[in-house]
Amino acid sequence: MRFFSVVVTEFSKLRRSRVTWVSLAAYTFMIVMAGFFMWMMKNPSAAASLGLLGQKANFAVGGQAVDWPSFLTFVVEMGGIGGLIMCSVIMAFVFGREYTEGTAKNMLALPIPRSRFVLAKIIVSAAWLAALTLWIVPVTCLVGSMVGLPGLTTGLLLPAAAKLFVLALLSLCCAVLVAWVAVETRGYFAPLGFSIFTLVLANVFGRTGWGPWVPWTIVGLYSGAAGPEATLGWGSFVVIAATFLIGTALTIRHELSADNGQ
Amino acid sequence: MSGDAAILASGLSKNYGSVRAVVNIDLDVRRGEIYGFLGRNGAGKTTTIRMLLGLVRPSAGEIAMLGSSLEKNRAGVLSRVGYFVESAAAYPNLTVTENLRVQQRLTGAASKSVDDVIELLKLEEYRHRRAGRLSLGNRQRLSLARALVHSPELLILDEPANGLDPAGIVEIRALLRRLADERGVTIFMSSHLLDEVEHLADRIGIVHMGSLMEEVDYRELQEKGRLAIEIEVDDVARAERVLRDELGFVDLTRSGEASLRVSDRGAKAAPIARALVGAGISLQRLIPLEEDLERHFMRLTGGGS
Repeated sequence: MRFFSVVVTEFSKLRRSRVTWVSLAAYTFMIVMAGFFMWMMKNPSAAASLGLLGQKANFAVGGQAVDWPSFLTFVVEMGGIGGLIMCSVIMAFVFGREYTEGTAKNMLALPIPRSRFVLAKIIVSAAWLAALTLWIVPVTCLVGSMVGLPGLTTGLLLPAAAKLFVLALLSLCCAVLVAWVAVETRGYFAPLGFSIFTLVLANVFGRTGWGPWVPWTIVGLYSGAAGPEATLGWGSFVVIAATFLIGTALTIRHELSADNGQ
Repeated sequence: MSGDAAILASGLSKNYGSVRAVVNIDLDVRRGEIYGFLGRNGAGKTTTIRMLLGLVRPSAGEIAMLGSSLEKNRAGVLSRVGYFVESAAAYPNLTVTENLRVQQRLTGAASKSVDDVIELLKLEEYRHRRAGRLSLGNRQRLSLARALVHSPELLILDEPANGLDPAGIVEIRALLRRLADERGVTIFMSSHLLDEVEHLADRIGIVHMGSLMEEVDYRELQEKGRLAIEIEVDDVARAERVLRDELGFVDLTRSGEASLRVSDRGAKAAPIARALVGAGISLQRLIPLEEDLERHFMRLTGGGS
């Protein structure tokens, strides 16, 4: 059986799936919120008169430049954490739905090596995340223009877009462990819980010197959410690659060896 | 390995911790036959089917299907097998056609086969309806259609009548019979419905508490079943002596405080009545029993007389 057919089939399973549209809406909403924040910074008195800006927020907003570099930095930071969450949701859905919807037993008894399903699902998740990332580039341009930010150039936009794609890739590598939890626990609730746990873990380790060695923290550090001073060495990327390989191997091993007790 | 066997399993066992779900089952399903795998809920039917499909690893035993070892040639064997296990499952957001298209692509079947099975299972009017919006009966039809997309030589079906209305049951029964008779498809179907198995199966395996109690040809069972006669008398011990000594019966079992069952081949009601009355025994009832599948099953599985 050609691997291509398995990949095409995995794509077709996404058709008319609500999660596809929900993820698109969530990503769009994330950029709109970033734009809204920019608008508040640009118009603090109007925001305050609408009750949108408290004293604390006023203090936080103060001193921030309201321009494209700030907006793009903000989008990339949100894309780091948002991408990690979204990628986890996608992985939990793509892998967990087969068990929740009772189709895993149909899939696993097919005359196809089970590892191909795992790899095809990872490819579909990656393509989905890439499409979402691609989508937010024009949305960012549109929202920034609507807010009236000055000075957009391709020299600003392209590095930010590239950084978003790298973040998507890093998120994907981390989220493969979510796929493993989904097949181990046969559903999508436990992997979603696991995702929340990893975000807490990322936050905790982000405050320590261990951050560059913890996969989920690495995503945050790369996005700049931990501050511009955070730097990553090659070791961090090795950790991310190892996470991907371990997650993929564990998922394949489970599908190959475990009884399907669905 | 028998070349005539569609399924040949030997010493098949599955343990979940200390629970013995399937105990040392041997199966020999011949090509072209409909084999009913009958048992109560929890008897081990689904676990056995899961082992046949490679969804559960046996704790012991070997499986060969269509002449090949499942362990050594999993893909080759399963490419010739159609199946559905337990519940009717489909991708709820995909239409009937799209669900079948998924199966068609993954099994490498011809594109036209999707339309063929839709027609075969009478799903035409639902072809564009999402699977999540189908009734349970139509979901069951979809599952059966999915199992048939790649024209399998062997069908392994777990409770195929579940969720179908009476008309649907008759239709599916006729379809399975046709598949076996006209296309030579071997059908291994589990059921807890005696009626379903009785109407369809050529041979029946009765499974109880994980063990295969008996493998029986349905026609043989019908022949055997005509031979029992149950009598109710005032003195069972004396009646037993009379039947043994005067009529030479050997297969006598007490089926109650005042009743006795004569299971000898050739036992007839009239000589029994004459002998008992002649011996001065009060004969209260004499009932020729036809042991149908239900009685046979209940007797084997300890569920009644």
